[in-house]
Amino acid sequence: MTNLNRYRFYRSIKSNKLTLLGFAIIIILTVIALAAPFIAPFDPSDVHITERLKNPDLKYLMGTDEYGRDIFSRVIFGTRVSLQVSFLVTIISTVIGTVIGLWSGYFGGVSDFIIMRTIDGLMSFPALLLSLFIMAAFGSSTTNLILALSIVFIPNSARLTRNAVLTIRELEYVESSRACGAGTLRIMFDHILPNCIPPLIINSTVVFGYAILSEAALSFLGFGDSSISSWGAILSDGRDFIFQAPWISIYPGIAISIFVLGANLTGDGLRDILDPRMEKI
Amino acid sequence: MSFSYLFKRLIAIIPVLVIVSLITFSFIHLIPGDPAMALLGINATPAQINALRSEMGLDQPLVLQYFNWLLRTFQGDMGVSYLSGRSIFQSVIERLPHTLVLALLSIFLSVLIAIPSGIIAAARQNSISDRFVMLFSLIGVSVPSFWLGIMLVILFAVKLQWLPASGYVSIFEDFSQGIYYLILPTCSLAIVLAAVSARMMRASMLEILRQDYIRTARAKGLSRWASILKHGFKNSLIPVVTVIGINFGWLLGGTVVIETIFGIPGMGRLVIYSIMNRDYPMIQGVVLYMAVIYMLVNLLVDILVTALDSRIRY
Repeated sequence: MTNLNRYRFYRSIKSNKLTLLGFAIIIILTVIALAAPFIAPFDPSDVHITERLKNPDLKYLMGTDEYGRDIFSRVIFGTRVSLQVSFLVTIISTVIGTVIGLWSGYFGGVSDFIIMRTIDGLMSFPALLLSLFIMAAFGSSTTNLILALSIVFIPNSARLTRNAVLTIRELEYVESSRACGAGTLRIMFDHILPNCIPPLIINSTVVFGYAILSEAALSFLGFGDSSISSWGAILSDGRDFIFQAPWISIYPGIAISIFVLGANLTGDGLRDILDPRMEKI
Repeated sequence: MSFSYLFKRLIAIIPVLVIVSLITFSFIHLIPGDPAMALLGINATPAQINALRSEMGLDQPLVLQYFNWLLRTFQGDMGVSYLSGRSIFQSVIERLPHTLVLALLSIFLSVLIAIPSGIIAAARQNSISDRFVMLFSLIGVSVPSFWLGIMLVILFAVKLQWLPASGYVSIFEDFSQGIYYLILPTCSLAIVLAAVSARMMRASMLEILRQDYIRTARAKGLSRWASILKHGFKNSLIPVVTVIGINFGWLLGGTVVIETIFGIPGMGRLVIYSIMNRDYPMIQGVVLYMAVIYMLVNLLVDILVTALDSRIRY
């Protein structure tokens, strides 16, 4: 990127305050996740049996659960799980999906047909159901949760990349590049891939948000590692105490919403910057 | 719409159906270890395992197993639940209406909220009502629907005690009681769906309002609202119908969690129960049915969109 383009990029980010807010939310939550042991007042699994189901007060900022564990600390440590799962899912699904889409779009033919029908097949399953399905087969752990969600989100980036490839593949400068003797890999990396990047970035923010929501739902239902204090797990614990201790159910959900809001705001803003032709959805 | 177009669409689905059936079939074989052993548990004797294997046809070549399974599925025989011994098909048929009622009611409510909001937001772009709709939809899209359900329960069942926290009465048995129990679950799903749809409605309406044919209608003397509603409306519905179709998958996933929270005896709860109890044949059956329903809904949406869009003629 030239200096002028870089300057324009930063100017346009700054001018869109909401995007900045979204970005800030993600950064702040990442910092919280990394610095969790220093921020949380208590160990999240520390039991204070004499102070179970306490209202939020100055000592326990978000109250305690049925074992006397500090909800605030649990929510802080829950940031780690959500961040880890969402980042990994987004990166894995985008990388694999891009490779599949590049192959399918560039080489076409039978492999393209089979790959695309498989992608269609995967997309025919409701996302949560497919991840439940995969976890039911392989067992419920954080690794399998990441695996399952990655598989669920691969079709998005695969389709996106394939569409971009189909558009660019026939353009004249690609043809002339080929005439100059450029090999397949070079064409893919020098010409096609750079044009796929803007929609892929936008897609990543969408996948990121959905990954957080899906991880929360799956943990809530009881899948995923039960020893970790993920937000969904805290919400699930809180269900039995909705009448006596509603605060257990309130705060983790707020955390989830803020995180997803950050992802959505960033995505909206990036969409404005990177592809102003796209309809503002 | 010509019959050949419909026919072509149905034919196009077939390869995808094949893949879906392959994915569903392979489920039992993806489980680490032997499927028969997984079903019987670790205390099973080798004789029991072998008996179950030949009963399930697991000793046959994989391809043959697949075709046998496919044939039986077409005939409606999805096998028997290894937990209850009841026919899987029977269980699905019993529970399907409850899930469908929840899903359809949620769509209906969401459309009721989203379409007027989207139209007003587009017609009064950048006004207070527009910003309000955008804010509502941004928050609605970020909030987990099951948490929203819990919040609604805390507000309306715990604090205000206007509505029940859980429980279910089928609307086919007692309509008013059924609706009473369905209000909170429906709202949890509908609000999030409305947020997505309102954004789409607003965007597509904004696009339409810029079109020349709207200006022509106004030039001819039609009032602002009449030109919006009479000419723009039908076309602006297209992306909304598409969005609802795409989000039907999300909705089916959402019903899984909502049914669990509110105790609704639908397919979603059946899936969870089966997974918790390792009832693998049941899991296979329910997931297959839900995938097929989703595919049919998407097909319906495609056809509906083609019917709505006056520019496409097949």
